[in-house]
Amino acid sequence: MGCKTTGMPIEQNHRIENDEENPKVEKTQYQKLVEKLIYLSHTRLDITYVVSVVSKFMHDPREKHLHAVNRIIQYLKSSPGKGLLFKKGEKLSMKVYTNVNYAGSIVDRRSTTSYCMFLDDNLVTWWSKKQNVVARSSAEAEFRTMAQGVCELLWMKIILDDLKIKYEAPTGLACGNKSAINIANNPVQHDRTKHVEID
Amino acid sequence: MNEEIRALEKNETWEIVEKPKDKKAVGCRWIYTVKYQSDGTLDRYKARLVAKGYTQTYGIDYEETLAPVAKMNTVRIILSLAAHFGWEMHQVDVKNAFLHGSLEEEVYMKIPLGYGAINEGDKVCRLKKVLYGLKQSPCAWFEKFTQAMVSVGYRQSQGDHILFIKHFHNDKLTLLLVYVDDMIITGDDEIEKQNLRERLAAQFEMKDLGKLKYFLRIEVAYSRQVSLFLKGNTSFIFSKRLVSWVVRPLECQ
Repeated sequence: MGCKTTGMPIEQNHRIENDEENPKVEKTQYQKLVEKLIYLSHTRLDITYVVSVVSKFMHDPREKHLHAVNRIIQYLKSSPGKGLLFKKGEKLSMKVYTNVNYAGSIVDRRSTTSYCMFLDDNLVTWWSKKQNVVARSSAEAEFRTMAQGVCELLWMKIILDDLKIKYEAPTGLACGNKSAINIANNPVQHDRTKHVEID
Repeated sequence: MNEEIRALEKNETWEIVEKPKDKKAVGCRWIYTVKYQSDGTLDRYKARLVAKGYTQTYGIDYEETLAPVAKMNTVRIILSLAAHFGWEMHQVDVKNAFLHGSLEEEVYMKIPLGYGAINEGDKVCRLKKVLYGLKQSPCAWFEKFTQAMVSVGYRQSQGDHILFIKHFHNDKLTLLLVYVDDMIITGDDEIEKQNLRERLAAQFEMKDLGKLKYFLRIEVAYSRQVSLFLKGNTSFIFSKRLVSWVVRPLECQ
């Protein structure tokens, strides 16, 4: 395909939203293309977030959204043949790295959870999804993300226990927010964290 | 087409009966596809009889419609474990998978076109086994398969139901991962893996695809026996159809 390549799958601080004024594009074709990208994100985690952005407009794609899809394709073209490499490591350990895009959505100001989990040194699962409530502070958003990451860890632990495979304890959880780590270490009821318990 | 009919008859999929007054019969049709080999040459022509499942009604003709698909996460965990421990992976494929499931509900189907001379009167086929296209097919197949696995001593994982595990006293382990009709067999017990394949082959018609190379359109490459490389299919980016489409909407505005 004769398009230019690009080093980034999406513009920084993009403002992609529902746009009634933009001209419409063919719906089924857009859906087919995004569907393929979703499938591709099973082995390409670098496009997970951008694919989640463009797939929000499956019901009513506009020209602007199509441009975003084209940009992903340009990005993929710059790095074809990338995939996941599973290596043999020394010890079997589990680690989760979490991060959050606080109030990242310009439409409803919800935050986006993201984490990736490593088994040994191999990346096995990842996740990038908009949270379903509006967080009132970045610590709260981070804390939710950590909870999500712990869920994933526990699920993997169930599978490994089922297989009776021995792994290195303790498992690791990494997070970039000091106050969220404090909340996790010392879960005392707190004025500002009370509402987190509810969901 | 004859091959498909033979497979269906061998399987005792249906019996011809008089149609009961109060029952509706599901229609059916033939689907023809051309199968290509991985290098693009013609492999074979394939005919498949499917029932028109969309005419079935929930609660009357079918109850459960669960389809057993693997979580991609589980697949990756197993693959990374296989890389870690250096397990060999085998891929097998079940032929006509859905036809193995047995049917609990009473389902009548119209007699397929081009089948025998008995195509007269109020005769219909009473289905004993499921056909492709019926709503309950995937569920019935998975149930049958689970029974088969349990009967040879395997246990379903609680973390993900598509994973079957068997442990031995000597700490050896065999795993089977199923994605509808595609399976990966792995583990550190060579003898058991061989046994399992033979036992499954005795019960279902299987195709042994050898070492895992291509699973769910994801390519698996090996290097030095221990590390694995997974690659998704990006060929759609470079296909002609996409080029013409991406260019067109911008022109026609």
